[in-house]
Parts: sequence; C-alpha cells; structure tokens
Amino acid sequence: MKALLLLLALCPAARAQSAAGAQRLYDQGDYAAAAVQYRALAYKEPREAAWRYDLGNCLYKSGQLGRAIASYQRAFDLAPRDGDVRFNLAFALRRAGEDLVPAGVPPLLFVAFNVLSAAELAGLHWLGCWLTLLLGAWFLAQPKRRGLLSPCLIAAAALWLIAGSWWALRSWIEPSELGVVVVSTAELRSGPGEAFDVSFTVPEGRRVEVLSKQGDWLEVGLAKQGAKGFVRADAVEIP
Amino acid sequence: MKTCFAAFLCLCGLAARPAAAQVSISAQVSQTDVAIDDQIALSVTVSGPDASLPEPKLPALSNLSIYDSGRSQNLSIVNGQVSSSIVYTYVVIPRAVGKAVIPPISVTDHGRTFRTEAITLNVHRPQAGMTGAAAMPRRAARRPQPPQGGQGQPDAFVAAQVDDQKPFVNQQLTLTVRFYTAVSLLQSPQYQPPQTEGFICEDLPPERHGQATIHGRAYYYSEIKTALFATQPGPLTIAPASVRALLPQAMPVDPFSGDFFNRFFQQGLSGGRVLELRSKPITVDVQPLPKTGKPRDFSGAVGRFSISDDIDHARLKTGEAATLTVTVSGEGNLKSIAAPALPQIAQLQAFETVSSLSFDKKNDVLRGSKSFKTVLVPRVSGRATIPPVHFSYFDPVRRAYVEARTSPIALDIAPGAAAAAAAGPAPSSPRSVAAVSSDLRYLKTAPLRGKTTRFLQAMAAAGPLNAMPFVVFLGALGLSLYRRQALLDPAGTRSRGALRVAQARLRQAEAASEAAAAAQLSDALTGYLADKLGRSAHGLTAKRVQELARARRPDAPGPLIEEIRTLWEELDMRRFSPSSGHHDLEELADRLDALLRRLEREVFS
Repeated sequence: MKALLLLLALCPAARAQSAAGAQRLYDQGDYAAAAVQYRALAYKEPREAAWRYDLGNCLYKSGQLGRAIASYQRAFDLAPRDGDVRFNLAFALRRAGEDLVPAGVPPLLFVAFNVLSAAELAGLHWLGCWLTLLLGAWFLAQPKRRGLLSPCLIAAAALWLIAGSWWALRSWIEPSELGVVVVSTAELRSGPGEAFDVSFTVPEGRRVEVLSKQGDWLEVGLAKQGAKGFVRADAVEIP
Repeated sequence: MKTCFAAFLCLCGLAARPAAAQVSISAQVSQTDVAIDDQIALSVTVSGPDASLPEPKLPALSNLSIYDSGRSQNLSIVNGQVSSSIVYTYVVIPRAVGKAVIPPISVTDHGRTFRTEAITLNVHRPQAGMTGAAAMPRRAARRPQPPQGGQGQPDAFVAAQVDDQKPFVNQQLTLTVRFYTAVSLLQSPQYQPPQTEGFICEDLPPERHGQATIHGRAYYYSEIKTALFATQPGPLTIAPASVRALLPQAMPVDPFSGDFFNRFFQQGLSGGRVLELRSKPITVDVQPLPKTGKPRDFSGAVGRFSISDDIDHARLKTGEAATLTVTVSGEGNLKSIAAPALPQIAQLQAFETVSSLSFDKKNDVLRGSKSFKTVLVPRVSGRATIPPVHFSYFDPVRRAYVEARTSPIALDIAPGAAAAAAAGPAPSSPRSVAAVSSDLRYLKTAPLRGKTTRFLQAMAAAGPLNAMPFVVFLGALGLSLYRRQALLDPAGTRSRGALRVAQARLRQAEAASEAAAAAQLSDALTGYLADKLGRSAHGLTAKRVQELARARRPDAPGPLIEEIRTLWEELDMRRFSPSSGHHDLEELADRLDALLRRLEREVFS
C-alpha cells in the first residue's frame, strides 16, 4: 500500500493508470479490489470528489452501505453541483431510510443553497476579502482614481459580504461534524462505555451529528429524532 | 412519475370495459346419452372483457348429482383490449333412468343476467353384459342376499373410517362413510354428512355400492368418500355421519321366497320403522409441518408436485404482450396453492396474474394442475431471461420439504412500433422515457475539480496568508491618514520632517563632490531651520534665524544659538570659496549633524 501511494505521489500518469485499473476491476465486478485502488486515490487527492464518488460505488456494490454513504457524503461536500454525486447519495440514503432533502424543504431551495461547496464558499469569502482590502488600499493610496475604483470596490465588498454570510449560514445550519453509521446496528448508550444502558439503536447508513469525542467513544445526536448518546467510534465513519 | 403514469394508464386499460362488450355464458356436456351412474363432464364457459368474471350459479338438479372438477382461465391482451374466459368443469352423474334436464345455468354481471340453453340428457340402463362398477352394486342392492347366519347383527348400520390417523396439515385424508343394510329399505335413506370442523372438504364421486359379509351376515352397502385437508395441527374430530332410513318391521321376510309380495304388503300395511343411524366419531392427530428445513418461499403446499413454465412466444417486440404460464401439477390440495412468486425482471412489465385449476379425483386422490398466467410486456428491446420460478412443497411420504423450479426462458425482444410501444391501451398517447430499473450511476472516469474550484479551495486553505490583505490595507490606511494630516497642517508636517530631510541631505553630501557636498550641507542647515521656523529658505539670514530661535525658545543656550551663525557662515564660505580639502567637509558635516540634533532636542522639541 505504501509503495502504491508513493508511486501515486511521484507520477500523475500512474494515478491516471491506477484509476483506469480500478475502473476495469469495477467493470469486472471485483468491487473490493477496485475500492482499495480508489481509496488510495482519494487518500492522495483528498479534495477530489471523483475518487470519493467512485469509492462509494465500490463500497455500495460490495454491500457496505454505511461506508458508501460516508464516501458519497464526502464527494457531495466537495462537489455538490454534480448530478451523479447527488443522485447516488440520495439513492444510497433512500436505502438507509433517509432522504437527502430534509422534509419540508423545497428541493430547488436545497439545491440552490448547496450549489457551492463549503470550501468554495470559504474560497469566495477570502477572494472577496482580498479584493476588497487591496482595492480599498488602492482606493486610499490613489485618490485621483477613486472614481474608477469605486464600482470595483463595491462589487468586491458585495462578494465578500454575500459569500461570508452564506458560508456563516451554512456553518450554522449544518452539523459541525457529520458521521455515518457503518455497522448494521449501532447502539447509542447513555454514557461512554459498555456499562451504560443502550438508549437507541441506529441502522447502518444513518447520518448522525458528532458532538464530542471521548476516547473510543463518540457522542452523537440525531436532531430529527431528538436522540443523543454515545456510540463506539468504530461504528461511525466521519466523512 | 412518468413510469407511474404509464402504469396507471395500463391498469386503467386493463380495468376499462368497452360499453359494447358484455359477458357471455355457454354450457356443453361431453355426451348426452349416458348410462345410469356413469359420469359425464359438464363445461360452463364464462367470457367477457374483464380479468375478473362472475361465477355461474348452478340450478337445482333433479335426478342428477354434480361435483366440482376445477376451472381454467385464459386472459389475452390484444392491442390493449383485455378479454378473458373461465371454463368451469363439473362431473355429472345421473341417478334415474329417463330424461334428465340440466336447466339453464345463469351468471349475473352488473345487474344483467345471462343464461345458457337447457341441456337434455338421455339416461338409460347399462347395456346387457356391461360389467361397470356402477351397475353391479345397484343390481346387488335390489337383490341383497338373505341373511346367512350372523345372528345378532343389526339390520343396518353406518361406519366411518379414515385412511390415516396421523396426517400432516393440508395432507389429503380420505374419509369413507359406508351405510350397510341387510334388509330392503322402504324408501331411499337420507344421508347427513358429518361435521368436519378444521378440515377443507372435497367430495370424491361417485357414490359406490357393494356387498360385504360382516360376522357372517351379508350386507349391501353404499359408500361415500370425502377428501379432507386439515387446516391446523392437533387433534381434530370428525363428527358422526348419520343416515335416516325406513326399514321394514322386524319380521322374517325373505325377498326371494314365493310369498314375498304377500309379506311385503303386510309390512306396508303395518308400516316400517325409522332408524337414525350414526357412525362413531373419529379423532385424528394432525401433525404440524416441521420447522426445520422450511424454505423461505414455502406457502403451505403439501403433496407431491412438479412445476413447469411456458411462454406463448419468445420472440416479440417491445409493447407486445406475451403470456407466461407457470403450471404446478401433482397430488394435493391444489385449490390452496398460491401463485409462485415471479422474480423481478427489469426489462419486462408484469401485469395481473390469473390462475386456473383443473383436477380429477381418480382413485380417490385429488390430482391435477393449477396454472398461473401472467401477461408480460417488454419495456426495452434486447435479450431478456425469465429466471427460474421456484415452488416449495412438503412431501408427506418423504417427510421433507422439496423445492421445484422451472427452467429459465430466454426472450428475444425487438424494438416495437411506436404505437405498440405504449404497452397499454392508449396507443395514441405520446411516447415517454420509461424507467426500467433503478441503480447507481456509473463511475467518474476523470477528476471533477475545475480550475476555479481548485483556486477557491486553495484560497480557503491559504490560512495565515489570508492576513496579508489586512496588512496592506492597514498600511494604505495609515499612509492615507498621514497624507490627510499633512494637507491639514503643512507647517507642522514640514517641521516634523525637517530633521529627516536634513539628515538625508547629509548622507547625500557624503557621496557628492566637494563643491556639491558643501552646497548640500549648506542647504541641509538652511532647509532645516526654514522648515522648523516655518519660513522660506530663500532670504533667510543667520541673524534672522538667531532671532527667531530665541523667540521660539528664550531659554535656549546662547552658545548653541551662536553655533548656528558660526556654522552657517563657514558653510557659506566653503560653498562659495572651495579651497579647503574634503577632510574639512567631513568635520563640518559632523558638526552640522551634532548641531541639528541639539537644535531638535533643545530648541524645537
């Protein structure tokens, strides 16, 4: 595995070859082997949604619904505009008994609100910040060109304000850290240990909000059900 | 949504009934000339434009016994029009010689009644030399043998027995009820079948007759058999069967003696005796089906079965209908067999499954076949395979579950015409995309990130670098404020920058030529003093400077003020009469630097 990762790091062409090889394995139905290769690609390029998406397909086909949803969720976080990513995530979530679009939210509004990823929103926010401050500095330094700079400065400030507000709203609405149950039934206990009673059971593939970490235990919550409890860390994968 | 709509249209089409179409009924028999106690088949066919048709009502039949023998149904969809027919089969057994009439059989559909024609049967006696099983007992019955011993034996009695005391649930159990009589009856006995709670019953015609000798006495008997299928495990009781018979008074009457008629009329005058005869109740211990080894698709069938499948045409086009027939054949309670589950076939749309039943009761065993017809309409072209259909049953002989399966059927589906591809009763409806199955979308073969996304992700991940524009802006803001301040207070700004400007000139003088250096030093001093005093350097004299300095700082040290004048004049001298060496200029520069610092500190602070 290390040798493979090193090879991937050294040669982009080898990465492309590895992707093609993983695709061949997938086409032949060897989903487990394909998943290993896609996982290596995703490890190398953690901001690339395609490898996460492909890894999700392999995991889904090999019967690992929870891990597949975690992988699709990561791909969706990175590329929310991609229709295939959204479709497969919704498809897998439906099998887990959950909907991608929260109840009561118009689908178009959900798509519009998630048209940009959190990273893109943060990037736009910082881009607006840079443009606003540099144009502002120029504006201060060049009083004679203020007439020319004013519209640009206003546009940059608007970008900064909108992107920043949008990013802040997303951060406020969405769970700070999302986890996906990857065992067939996760037991939520009233405390971080086997000695505590099981309060709830959560099926595989269900997304939970990770509230805190205590050793080998995670405190998780399900806002819709109003449930909160501790679950073993290996039962939940954080995308 | 479009798929649902298409399916809705198809279902509406199946359910739709053209106004002109109506139910029809017909009946026919296998033969109209029949010997008494022989069997003929009566077929009643109900047809109509619907998948569910009403069941015919049989009228009361005199001198005829009739038994259900199953039914079969055919369903067809042609150009979206549904038509079906059900054939009900009955076994008819005549009971009296002469003309026997099967009255019109009726069926009622949506308030309208349809009837068949009446059927007349010619029932005759068995031909001479005929040795049919039905004829012999009757003759024997008319001429029962005189008692031969058996003293103390009853004149008549009823006995019931079953062929298995420990059947499994839903396994056939044959109940035999025999009415024995050793004397002539004055009228036909009235049979009351037993109560069989917990069983499903099926008659096993015909009624049979025979002779038997029991404990030395000859009896004539009539036998009725019934197939029973237990519906639950545990002990179940078959209640007594009863026969109400009118027997002659107990006096010695020999029907074969010469004075038989004399004695018979004597008996008639004195009347007979009515006997209510009952069999003994029978309790059977019904065994539950074993839990171990029970297949998932087991639906309760018990017996011995086989399964087969067939399709009316394996080469078809999209939108055309093909009928898949799955037939379960064998021995057992065929009526209770549920339709085997058809596997999901993505390329095909399956419509309502209808069943038809055909069975016979030869040798008192229920056997036959039950067919399940399903209309399949291909939705896409290409090759499709109907996977094996599974059927599980329990074999009571082997005491084990058996799984039977059909063979797969390959279909070759060609693209259909536009009108036929609608696969439903609305050929004029526009064609639409139809969802065949739902699965994941395929892999991404290339990275998704574009340059813009990469750039924005890099911006987001820049970290402390994003503090740089703040620094730049703050610098610009400071500069702007400084400039603003300079505009508002030019004298103060000039004064505050006087030393810096003078020191810059001192540094320039170090690198300049001798003449230029002297001029630089002179300008440094006069410029500094002019800036500090808010005057123009032109026309400013050393004396005037001393006056202004004293006015600014009356307590300024006198030597310091005097040093201004001294250095001023020396620098002027060097500037306009350059005769001394460069070494003197350096000394003057040092003195000027020291003077400027002292003035800054002691006069202009």
